Amino acid sequence: MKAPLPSPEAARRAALTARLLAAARARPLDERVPAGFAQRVNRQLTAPPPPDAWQIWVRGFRQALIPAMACLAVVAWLQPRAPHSPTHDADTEAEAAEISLWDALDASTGELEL
Amino acid sequence: MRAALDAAAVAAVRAGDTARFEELVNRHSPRLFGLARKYTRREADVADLVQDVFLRAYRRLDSWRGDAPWEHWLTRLTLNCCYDYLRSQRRRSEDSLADLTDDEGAWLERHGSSTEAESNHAAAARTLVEKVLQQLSPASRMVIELLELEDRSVKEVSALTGWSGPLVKVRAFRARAELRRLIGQLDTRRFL
Repeated sequence: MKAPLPSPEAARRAALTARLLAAARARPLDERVPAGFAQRVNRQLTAPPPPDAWQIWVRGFRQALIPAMACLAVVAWLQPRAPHSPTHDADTEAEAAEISLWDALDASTGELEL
Repeated sequence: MRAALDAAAVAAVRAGDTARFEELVNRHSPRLFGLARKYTRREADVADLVQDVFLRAYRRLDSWRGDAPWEHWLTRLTLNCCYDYLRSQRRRSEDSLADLTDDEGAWLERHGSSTEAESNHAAAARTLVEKVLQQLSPASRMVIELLELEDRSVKEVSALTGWSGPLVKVRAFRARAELRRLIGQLDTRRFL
């Protein structure tokens, strides 16, 4: 039993494929090496390995952390203490109110005399 | 002789004489550049690719056991790098089959009729085939390059790529079908 003949189109495509492959096989081998290539490779080999991004970030963070903490401490230490702080005023007022209450009580009873 | 020189240089580099690696680079660069140029036409990429091969070779020097020539080990490494390169470039194929030059079109029109002016259009045929090969998937391109263009056996391709024999055969079958389809597109576009 004979295999069916390929259609003219298929035969033409097979011929085209064969000729394209033949053209590809005939490509001349280009073995030119750019000048200084060996030195370029050598430089890469002797160069220190680039640090990764995480290491760069940690180093920067550590370098910035200590001065930042020092600045915060200095600012906190230099912060002026207010003589009439709201807390102070409230205490004074409460104390004055209590004293006046006692005075009023003394005046009414007349018993408590120092 | 060459294998013995390579083995001596590799032993020296392993022993700490890293300057001897330059000797290996000088000896093998031409062949590696020739090999890399089969997979890309961009000269900057070729140099980067070959440099990457040598850097990988230097870092993995201890994995060479010495049971085969160092050159074979380096060739395998180069093909792995070329395959990685093809995969990374998959989305960047700048030439498509839709934009043929006049010379390429002329070659296509003459290809079936006769062998005349064959040599005049050899360059056009080469750029045309380059465009076709660029359209292939990385695995297909690798298989076509090694099996069809370099006439290597399945066993050799298997040894060079690290793919099993049956995998090489399956990929070769798919690659040929892919090539036929692309050439069919080219043919239809030009003649129908």
